[in-house]
Amino acid sequence: MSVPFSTTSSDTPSRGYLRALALSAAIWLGLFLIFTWTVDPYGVSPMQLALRGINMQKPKRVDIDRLIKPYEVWRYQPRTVFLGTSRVHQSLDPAVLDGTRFAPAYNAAMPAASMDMHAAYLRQYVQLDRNLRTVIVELFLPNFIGRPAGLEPGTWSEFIENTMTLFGSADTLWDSASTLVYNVFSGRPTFQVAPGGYLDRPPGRDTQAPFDGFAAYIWSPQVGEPDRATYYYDAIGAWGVIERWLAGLSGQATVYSFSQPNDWVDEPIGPTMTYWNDTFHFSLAMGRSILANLAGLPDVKRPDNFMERLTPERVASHVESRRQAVRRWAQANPSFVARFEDARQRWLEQNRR
Amino acid sequence: MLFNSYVFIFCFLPMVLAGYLLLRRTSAPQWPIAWLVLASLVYYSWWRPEYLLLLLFSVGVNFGFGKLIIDGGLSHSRSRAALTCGIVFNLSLLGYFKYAGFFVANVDSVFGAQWVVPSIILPIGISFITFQKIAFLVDAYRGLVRNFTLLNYAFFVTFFPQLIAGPITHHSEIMPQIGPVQRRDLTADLGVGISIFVVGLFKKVVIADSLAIYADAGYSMLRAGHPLDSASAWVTVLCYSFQLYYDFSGYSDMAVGLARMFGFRLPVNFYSPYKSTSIIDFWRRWHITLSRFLRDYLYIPLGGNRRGPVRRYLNLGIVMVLGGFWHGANWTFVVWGGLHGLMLGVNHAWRALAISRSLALKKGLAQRVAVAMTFVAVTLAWIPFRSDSLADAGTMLGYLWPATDHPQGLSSFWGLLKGQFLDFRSVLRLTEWFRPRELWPPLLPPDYLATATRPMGLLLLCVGIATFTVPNTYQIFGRFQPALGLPEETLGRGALTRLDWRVAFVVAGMFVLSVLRLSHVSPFLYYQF
Repeated sequence: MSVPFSTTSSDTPSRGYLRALALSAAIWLGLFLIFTWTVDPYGVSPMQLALRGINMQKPKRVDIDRLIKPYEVWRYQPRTVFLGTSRVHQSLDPAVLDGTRFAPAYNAAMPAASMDMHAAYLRQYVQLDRNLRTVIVELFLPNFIGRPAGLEPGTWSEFIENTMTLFGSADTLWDSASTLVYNVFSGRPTFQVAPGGYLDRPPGRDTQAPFDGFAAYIWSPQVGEPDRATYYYDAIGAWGVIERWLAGLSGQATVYSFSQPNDWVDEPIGPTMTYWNDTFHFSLAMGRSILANLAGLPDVKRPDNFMERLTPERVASHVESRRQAVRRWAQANPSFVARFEDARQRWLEQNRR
Repeated sequence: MLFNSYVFIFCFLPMVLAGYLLLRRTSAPQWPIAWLVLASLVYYSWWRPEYLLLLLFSVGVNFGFGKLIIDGGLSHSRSRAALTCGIVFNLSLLGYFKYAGFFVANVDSVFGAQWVVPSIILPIGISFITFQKIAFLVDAYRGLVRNFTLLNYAFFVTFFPQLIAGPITHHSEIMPQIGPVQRRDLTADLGVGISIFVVGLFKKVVIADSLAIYADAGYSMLRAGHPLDSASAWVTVLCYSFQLYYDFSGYSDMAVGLARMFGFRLPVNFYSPYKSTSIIDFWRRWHITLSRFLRDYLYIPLGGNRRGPVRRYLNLGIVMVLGGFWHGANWTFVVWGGLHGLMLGVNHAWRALAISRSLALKKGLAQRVAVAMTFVAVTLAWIPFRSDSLADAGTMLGYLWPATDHPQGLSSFWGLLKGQFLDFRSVLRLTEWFRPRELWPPLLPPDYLATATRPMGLLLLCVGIATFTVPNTYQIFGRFQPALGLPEETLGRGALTRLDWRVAFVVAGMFVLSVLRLSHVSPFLYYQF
């Protein structure tokens, strides 16, 4: 069989083709960097430009916490880091702590994070952030239920790979384009993660009727999604777990509770709630008071029992007072309890089948 | 190490190229080849170093059989016995690593046996390597092998551009290219090779991986037991069909481009298969070197078409079922191969009829209908190929059919049209494009893929038009003789007349975009076979 050899029987590229390839690649790369660093869809650009009509709104900065937060902890070297779930994510503005011994602070909370994740990320942050002195961790009950997965902290290679994705990926290019289009054609304030790491809600988005939302949440999706029904029920019924965990943790770390029954915690449901965004997430106003209390800053007048330091000896009485408060609330809202119980029974029946 | 990875593109390849260019300047022609062998072994061991020993052992044993057959002075019958032993050795390795678990699981399930087989990790590329070595032994037995040394043989088997997923080369295609290795103008080869490689990289990471988002979401829903409406089911199977097409096409281009960077040409393995006008035509364009292997080393030895039509169809069925089984140890692959065997049989039977030779059927519209029918048949056959089980494949087929009692049958296509093309405000909301990767499939509603995933509709439309109208890589680079075995009309007539700065600008843009897409690394589909 006769095989044609490369340069004896075929046309050859123009002289300088390889040089043109290299130069063109450099030009394309330069254009990419100019574009993405200017639009800066994730707020990580070294240029940090804020251009009205170009990049003031960053709608693509949501949902990338797992990618961006280790990088920002490394970049900003905060003294205080918040770990938690969506509650902390959307309610604790680290800027409240500016000027205090906790500053600079960074909100490293992630929606749906587990305690395993907190532990894994904390171990990584200790390596990434030499200034780290204080870690504020949210103790959210569902995080204590379920088997720990034993997550390992992120490796350096993962960290570098994730960082490269933020700066040099097609996602960055695409998100820059969509950020630009959004700002040019709409520009309406939208959900985005603020520079401090917390979720910034657009004005007017915390005035939906939360109760109706919650009722629909429990009622409608029964088949195939039983977790939603059990979730709330377990949160009420798991006092033993709460007591056990709080007793253990308060012996080893500084634990404050902000769940005491008071006017803020029991804020009546309505269209313009101040301290709650919805039935699960407290508001920025509540978060501001939590941080102000922790840092000893002056704040609006708040309930006397707003913050309570827990010690192993005080946990039992603390839990009992909360339990009594829930019972009182249940007695005051019998129709809700009946509907909830009905939903729970239906769920139990379906799962028995 | 995948071709579409940073470590390959920015570390391995430049180092191997630099070493190769340096060693070409030495007077000994074997040094650059030895360097490529060494690089190929490093490339293979990157995945699992321990399996390098297996590769070396297999190369050594096959070299021994080859030596025995070629230089052993054996009688015809003993030579045949040596060939048989060599083939059995290779198939045994393949059988153990690829099929032992499948065999034991089936015996256990049918006979209630309690056999236990340890978890066996499939050595990467073993299916391709095995076929290549068998082809070599058969060629040696037939007296077709020349220039046979251990170094040349090791190079032929392990050359990294074709080591993992083909093309399955013949000894006679590679060996004549080793001799003049030092006489070539590698600057020209680099220009052509890099350009073809970049086109392949673009196909893989920009096109195939974008389609994978939607195909994977649909099949994840299927696996989770959640329903799809008819339009979403079609979206899923079409996205997978094009994903596989561009994945394999991209890989084939990259292999050809890489080999060309070192001055070697590989045989063409992929030639616009979705433009085929029949299943017979399809198998002359899809995985061409596998088809060639199956034809030369299985179909013809079985008797081919020489023993009457019935035997011919039986042979076709056997070959295609085994070809399917070669792709993976699962009944889904067997069914896929069987379907193609069946379609090939029907196609041959049709061709035997006088009406099939009618001139009217060779003209424009009829040809376009034939292309469409072939594409639909091939796409439907990919369903068992992609599904985890035959039950899943059956379920997906059921979803495709809108006339069943499915809650959203025909009406779902209106939803697709509206959601993907007519509702401009939603379609142009760029911030919501490419979202499925963020979502948890079990929570997606049945019509999600058809109505809410964007820019799926635009992407499918563009990819569909490009697939059926744009010339393929070999037609574009035809003037530069990119591969072996190209059709006559391709050679010297490529769409590109020159590789100049304009081409460089476009190719560089594709390269930068492709490299930017590497952040979401995904393996080639054909690596798993």
